[in-house]
Amino acid sequence: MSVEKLKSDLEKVLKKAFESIEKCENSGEIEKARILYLGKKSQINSLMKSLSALDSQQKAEFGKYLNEAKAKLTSFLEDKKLSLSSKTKTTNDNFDISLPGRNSSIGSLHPITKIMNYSIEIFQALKFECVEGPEIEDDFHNFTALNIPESHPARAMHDTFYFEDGNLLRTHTSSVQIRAMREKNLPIRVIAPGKVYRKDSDITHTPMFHQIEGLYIDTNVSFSNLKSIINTFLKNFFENDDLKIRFRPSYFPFTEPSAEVDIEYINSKGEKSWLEILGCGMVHPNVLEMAKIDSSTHSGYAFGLGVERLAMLKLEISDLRLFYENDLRFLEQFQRAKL
Amino acid sequence: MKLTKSWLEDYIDIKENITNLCNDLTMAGLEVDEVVSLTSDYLIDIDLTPNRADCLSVMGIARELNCINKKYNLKKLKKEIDPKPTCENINLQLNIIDKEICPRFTFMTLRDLSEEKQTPENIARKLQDVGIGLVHPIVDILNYINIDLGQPMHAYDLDKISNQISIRLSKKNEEFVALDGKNYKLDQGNIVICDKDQIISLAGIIGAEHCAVSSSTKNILIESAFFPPGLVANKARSLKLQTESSQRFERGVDYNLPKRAQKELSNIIFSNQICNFSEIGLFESEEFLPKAKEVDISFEKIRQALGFEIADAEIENILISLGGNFDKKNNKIINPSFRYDLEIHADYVEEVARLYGYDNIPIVSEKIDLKPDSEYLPNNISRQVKDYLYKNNFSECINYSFTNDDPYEYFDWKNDPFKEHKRISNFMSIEQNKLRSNISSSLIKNIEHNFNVNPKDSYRFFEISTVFGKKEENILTCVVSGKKNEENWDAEKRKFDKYDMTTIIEDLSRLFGLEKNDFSYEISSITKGKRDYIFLSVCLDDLTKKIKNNPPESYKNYSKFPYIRRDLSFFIDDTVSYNKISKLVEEINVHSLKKILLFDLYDGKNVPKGKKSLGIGFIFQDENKTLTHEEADKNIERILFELKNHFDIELRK
Repeated sequence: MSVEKLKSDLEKVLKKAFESIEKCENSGEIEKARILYLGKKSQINSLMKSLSALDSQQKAEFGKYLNEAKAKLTSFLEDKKLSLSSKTKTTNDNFDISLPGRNSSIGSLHPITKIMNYSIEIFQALKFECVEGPEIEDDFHNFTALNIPESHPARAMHDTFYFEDGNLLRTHTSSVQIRAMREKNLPIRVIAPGKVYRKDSDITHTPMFHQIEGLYIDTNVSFSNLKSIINTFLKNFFENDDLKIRFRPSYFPFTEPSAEVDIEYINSKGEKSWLEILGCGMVHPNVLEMAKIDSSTHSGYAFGLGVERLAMLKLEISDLRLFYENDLRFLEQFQRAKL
Repeated sequence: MKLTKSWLEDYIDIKENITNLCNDLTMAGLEVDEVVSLTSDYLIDIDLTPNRADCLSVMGIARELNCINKKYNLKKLKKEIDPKPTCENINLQLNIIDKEICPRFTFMTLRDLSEEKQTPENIARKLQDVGIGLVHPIVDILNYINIDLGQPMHAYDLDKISNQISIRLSKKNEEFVALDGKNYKLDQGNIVICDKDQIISLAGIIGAEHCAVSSSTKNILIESAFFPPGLVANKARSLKLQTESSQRFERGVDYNLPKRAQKELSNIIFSNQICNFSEIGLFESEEFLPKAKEVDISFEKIRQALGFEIADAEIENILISLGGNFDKKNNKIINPSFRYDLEIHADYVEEVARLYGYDNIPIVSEKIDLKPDSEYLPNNISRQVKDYLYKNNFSECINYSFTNDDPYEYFDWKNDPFKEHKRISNFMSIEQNKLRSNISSSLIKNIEHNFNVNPKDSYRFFEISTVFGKKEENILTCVVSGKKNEENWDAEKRKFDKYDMTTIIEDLSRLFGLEKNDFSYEISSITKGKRDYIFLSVCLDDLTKKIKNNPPESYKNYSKFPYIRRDLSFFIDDTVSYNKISKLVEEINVHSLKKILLFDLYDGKNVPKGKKSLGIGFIFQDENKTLTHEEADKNIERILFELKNHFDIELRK
């Protein structure tokens, strides 16, 4: 038998096969067609058996031809089967795209966390490293090392919670900075986020709140650098390049010069006013010396942000107490992955 | 510090409007808190920082305004007339036990005061404008001088004290009835002024009731002294007694003021013909007066600290304006007696910056040449955990770290009984008298609150916080309560159980590439009222440690050969934990065992008492070849043999 004859026989079988597969209307008919054209007793299979009668060159030539035909037929069958099955779904299924899904799995992140994360991201982009420390502190790290000796009137500014052993709840995360200064190598560029405590509770104060404090110590750090970092942070945070910012002289025992920073705030009536947003300054030489850093060769700046205050401004939260009531009607409003 | 614009105008010319005046004050660090319009005047309330004791007087603020800008021109003060005394001073026998505690003490006597005398009208008006009530003509004048010059003085009823006066430090538990009518028990170390019988005043803070000036007082002893700030500070506060006087002394009163204030008093007494007055008596130990501080000034260092090129002349003008003594030739500066806060070079840097104007200093970004640790691990981990939980239907809470004596507080995060709480000595309320040792009880309260105000079927909350058990630890606690699902058209209708928490632990393990037994956690439940709460607590400090030691994620070749599954279903004692079974299977170390899968767990009908029925699938796969069924059968027989060896199991048909 010649290869040509075999080829033309195959063509005939294939033509017939394609035609009848095309006509199939359900998976049962497809299966019948598969058995008929590709099964053990199919014509293609018997053509396969005739291969043995050919010489090796012909065997290779027709064998390849036959395999390709089989593959073509198989994939045609599969495609037909798939098109039939999807037709079945779209025609028979009553999927209602407007129906609510099963329960959502999105909860909420506390706004304090969101504002913390958001601020930390900005500072990390400005190459600050995040550090943490204990909430129960000793007098040294919270006061003395920050140039606030026992008799200093500034201690009146911090109403502190004390324990019987003389330790206290930290009144600022500056205590973490003291630890960083004593433990890390220079230059130091850190932020310390965390909970702080002051004995104060009224409509604008809670006994526990959150701070992010920053510290940069290097050779040649200047007040104009401090202005720059605060400007950059605030403009990024409020996503407003035209934000009006002013620096006002102030007093903190641990910085000299010290400043308070105000931003221009426009209320719903369009009235402008200045709003105090953070405190900062150049690290006091006594603080550097107490951390065993030579104040004649090194200088630094430090700043402290109140997270609640930032959150209230950024998220338009009017009542401080909402943060600690943990009422779902409040919490559930903070579902977005970004602010 | 409250004062009026017109009072300021006694000292300086003000051509600016009130808004500009207040802005100038605020931008120089004397923050104007509030301005109130009065009839043809303004009341200005300045929020002074504690370092600026020199501005606790109208004179001081006028002086400061003149520093800020020369447009606030200092007026030439009327020459003081120094009136001639009209009576004798007392023969005071003053004994200052320790000269350091009162290096300067001046006194004078006022006599023959008549009951009809009134407070001079201009003084009364000024006091009333700044909100100080009128008490007694002499006391009012002293109050006026206190605000005007910043020197607190005290008036004693001369007929109620003896002339033997001593100044000493108090002994512990000495008692004293102050003119506010309260009895104070003193600690040791308060400066007290006594006559021969008793304490007549708590120096610089408050006088005694028994010798206070009243409407019937005829003769008065006036004290105007200097007490060192370090000795008055904290004393008033520890007695919970803040007075106009203590506020000034603890921050530092100019030691040159006592005599000037006495002179001012005699002027007022004389010009208003209030009563007779004596000359001024003086006790002084100059060596104990505060020393002026000399500081070397470097213009270069000032420029370096501020980060911009400010001209020499500009710095010089500012330094001179401070009122101390600037020696340009030797670059040395001495602080004026009223500026205790100018001690070191940095203080002068601030003065230059402040008076140049912070807002006028340019913005210069720093050149940073350092590579910070990319991310601080603990912060990063708690952030990942929070993200996971919030994307799995949990809502984050933040509660106060304080708690109370509620019985639900007496366990730590591991549910171990815990009673040695950190107690706050000076707590604000009994509800917040100690630090919490677990987060669970806070979360229970959160659910109770939410159920009361806005009931739901299902609650999932979590909090990450420091807790204060045996040590300070950073803990995650999750709570679920109620039904697993809110009402929905196709929701699984069952209550939460502990296995819901197992899922979370397994997810967290996977998120950080750990096994769930690699770190410590606790799953527990509490029933309170009608409600069940299920908790999961994880020590994040421990988790962080484990993650730090974890090798980084890397790819391993997977087997491309088919797998074979064999299932075993059997009864086993229900006390045998799944962990025991899986551990044993692991120990058998069947080379090709890829995975075991618990596909059935049942202990209902048809299961013998005390037993449970488990269905476990064993999946075998070889890395290098196709596994044969014979090999799979051999493996499963080995596993079954070992299981039978270790446990009492009965295969199910």
